[in-house]
Amino acid sequence: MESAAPDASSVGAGRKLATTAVWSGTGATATALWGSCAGSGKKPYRTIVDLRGPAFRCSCPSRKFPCKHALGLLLLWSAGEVAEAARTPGDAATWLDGRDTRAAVKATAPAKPADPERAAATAAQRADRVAGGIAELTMWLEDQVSQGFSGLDGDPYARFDPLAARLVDAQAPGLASRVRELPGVLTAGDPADWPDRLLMRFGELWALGVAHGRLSELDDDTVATVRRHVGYTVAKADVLSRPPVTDDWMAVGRRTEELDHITARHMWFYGADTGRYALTLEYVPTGGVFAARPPVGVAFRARLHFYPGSPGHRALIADENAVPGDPVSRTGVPPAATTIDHARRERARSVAADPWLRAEPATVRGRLAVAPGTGYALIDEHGESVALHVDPERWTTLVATTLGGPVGVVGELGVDGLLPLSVISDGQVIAL
Amino acid sequence: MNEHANTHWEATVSAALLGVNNRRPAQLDADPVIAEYLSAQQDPATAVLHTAALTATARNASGPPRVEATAIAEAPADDRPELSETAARALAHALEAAAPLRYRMLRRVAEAHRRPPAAMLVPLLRTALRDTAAREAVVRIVGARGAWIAEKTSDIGWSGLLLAELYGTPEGNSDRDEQLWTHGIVAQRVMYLTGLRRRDPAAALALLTGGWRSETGPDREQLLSALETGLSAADEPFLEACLRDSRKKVRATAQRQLALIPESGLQRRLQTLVAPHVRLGRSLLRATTLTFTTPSGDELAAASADRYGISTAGNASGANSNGVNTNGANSKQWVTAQLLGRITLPFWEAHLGAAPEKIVSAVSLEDAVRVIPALSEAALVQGDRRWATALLKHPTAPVSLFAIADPACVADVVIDRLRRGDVVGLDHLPVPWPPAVATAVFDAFDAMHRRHRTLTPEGHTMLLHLPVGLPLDIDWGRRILALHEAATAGMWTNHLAIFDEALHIRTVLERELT
Repeated sequence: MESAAPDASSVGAGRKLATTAVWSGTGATATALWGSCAGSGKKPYRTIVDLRGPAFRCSCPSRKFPCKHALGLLLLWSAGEVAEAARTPGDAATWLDGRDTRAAVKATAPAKPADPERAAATAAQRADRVAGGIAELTMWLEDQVSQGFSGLDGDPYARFDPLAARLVDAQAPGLASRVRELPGVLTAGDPADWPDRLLMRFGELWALGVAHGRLSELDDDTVATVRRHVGYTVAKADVLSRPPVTDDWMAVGRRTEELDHITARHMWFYGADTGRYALTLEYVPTGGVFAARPPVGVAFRARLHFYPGSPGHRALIADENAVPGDPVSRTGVPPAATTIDHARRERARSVAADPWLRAEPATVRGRLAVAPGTGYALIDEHGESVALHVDPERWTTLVATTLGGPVGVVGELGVDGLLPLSVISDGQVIAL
Repeated sequence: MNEHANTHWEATVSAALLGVNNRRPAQLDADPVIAEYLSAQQDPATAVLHTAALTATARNASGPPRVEATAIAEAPADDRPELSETAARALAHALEAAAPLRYRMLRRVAEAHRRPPAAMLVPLLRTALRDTAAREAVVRIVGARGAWIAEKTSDIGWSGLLLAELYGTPEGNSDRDEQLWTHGIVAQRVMYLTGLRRRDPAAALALLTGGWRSETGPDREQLLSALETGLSAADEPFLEACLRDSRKKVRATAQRQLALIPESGLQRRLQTLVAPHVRLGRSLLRATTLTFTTPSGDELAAASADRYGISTAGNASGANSNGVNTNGANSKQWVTAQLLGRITLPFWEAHLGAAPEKIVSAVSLEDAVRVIPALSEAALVQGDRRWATALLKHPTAPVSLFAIADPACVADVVIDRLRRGDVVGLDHLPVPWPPAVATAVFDAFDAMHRRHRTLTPEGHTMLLHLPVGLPLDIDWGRRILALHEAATAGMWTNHLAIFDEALHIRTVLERELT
């Protein structure tokens, strides 16, 4: 329930409405839930919840979605305070039927008439444009090292942004966003070493360009990997047509990231039987609401379709709508925690398949440690250590949760350190 | 820069920075990890980019480097039985709830002597950081682990705000550790000294006086406050000496503590000073009246009142240690108020030969404004229940007395005030209430609702206190049902929902803790 709420204050507001005192005419069937909530106005608000979605409808003017009334009604229902009803009242039935009809239309609507010739022409046109963009990028890179890039740290945005814009025009958004990261590379780390860091990034970009020029010589996996980094999108339908992996997937970490006008949600899952990590990426406009997903620490039985390419973490959940309602098949098994050395080797293996990889999921067992200065770190039983990328607030949570004892940390292992997403305590995965 | 390049990669970076058109990379052997993939036939720019790509991949593959770090020590053990999961959840909700419930539940958990689950420690400590009134209870709940977390984290330990209180936690077993006295920060030393004072007041005094000269001003100020525990006549010589301290706050603390020792020279001098000026007399209209005159400047000087912090200069002196409101005071009344606030209350009974009730009722109306708050302050500082109860019956008695006066009398006063629609007392009434108070609140609420047909601010205050104060061993179903009916009629069901939730949280916690 709480994961469906737009924010914490909505949960609080909902909780306050989860009392029979304010509700009238409530009822529930296996698929729907309805009621009228007395508000500040004369006419009570009418709230309907489609439990299959879940989807919400309320006559209140709130801009939050779902609103506190819908959340309150859900809480009331989960507390067993809403009586079962034999039939759905008129207004609820109308809305639910409308939803069903629209869903049916969507399901049965034939996909856009496929025109193989036209599709091939579009693809060829795009490949040309990308190749043009890459040629320009390569020339720009050669120019930087031929003429020298000293002084570039003076006004990096003016140097990099026009290039990024041209790469967007060339339909290579992956390359464009890598170029946009470059000003940040200059300032992240030892100020004296910025030329080292920048030249390595130049090398990565150059290699992506070279690889794209030789796609025909590469194996399928590497082709998919290169295309992903360049920024080709893979149609959802193509991913869903790949064989699914069925498992008890436990949510082991989630983080959101603010991009331009868009919020991205990264969710990591771990499959108990396959021992495989999976990553779902979702985007909504800033301020929007993500689809409900199980909270961290909860497992659900589902079929996942993995995207092509290495290291093969990104996936789509089949039967999207079935996820929240599906009964949790069993409590799920969190990933087994390894040593830091083991995690480093696993990451190296993934880099071998995908040299442009940034972060690899890892579960490491160790104790919290502090580095001189203000650095935070994790030390394992062999004395190996890795920097922890945490802000003071998250560090506090880690300290209080572990009480200084050994702990399994699930996170993303990057080239500079570990970004912790959750901890494993007494076999329970707890989100940070 | 080329001259300083020691490796192939350094030479490559230097050349790229200046431009390979201007300067070729120095001829050095490439790192063996990448050497076999480099080709000799590339043009210089491509060779640089190729080297960069291979180096980047090698760097990426080697992953995060080792860091020099030291593992943090484990948290101290806490062998109290753990708070149940249900109770912890209720407590988490209580932290978000309105003030009366929040404070009551925190106190209740603190008294229950249970260990909070690790996940609750940070929310509790964050509450204590932003809410000073919650601090004392939180400090007791989190125990020694709270101080441990504050030491290890910059946001809970921020500016040491909580540290002093956390170190004083009675749940900690570290107060026997002499290291704290010799090496600890001042908060730890105060804690150690307070602990020692509780066990052996004389030893604590000796320890403090031994190193007194070498302590800094701010430290002296804080350390001296530890003597308040176990204060006795034996401390008088040292405190007298502190009256000559160069630091004003040290002098003020010593003055306050001397006043708390009934047999101290300060008390005797103040009593001698005041005795001829206060007497019970018979007036024509009233049976008994307490009359005051103010000691003259010569008398005050003879008693070295100034040295003991009695100010004659109105309220601007900053010597307002008894907290009496001095707005608009003329200096004579101000002197009287200061004296009354400091003299031990039993003195009046002996001097005037009357019981507290009689003395309080003899205070004239025009004097009451000054005298009742001063005597109430004295009752609070001295923790004198008899006097607090006697003062309570006065119409201008401050509500702060509710906390120490006889509960039965407090209940009577609160019920009386509720009949007049005055709800201020509810904030200070010990909980749970006697059944008569609960009934009076429901009655007052009904009366309010009959008259206004909506939720008044007073009604709102009652609604906040009801779930906290109701004695739970009595069934209030009928009265609560009436509240629900009133709420539906008056369109304030949202406020009632808060009431319901609060009552639920309290019921769950009380059940889990007993």
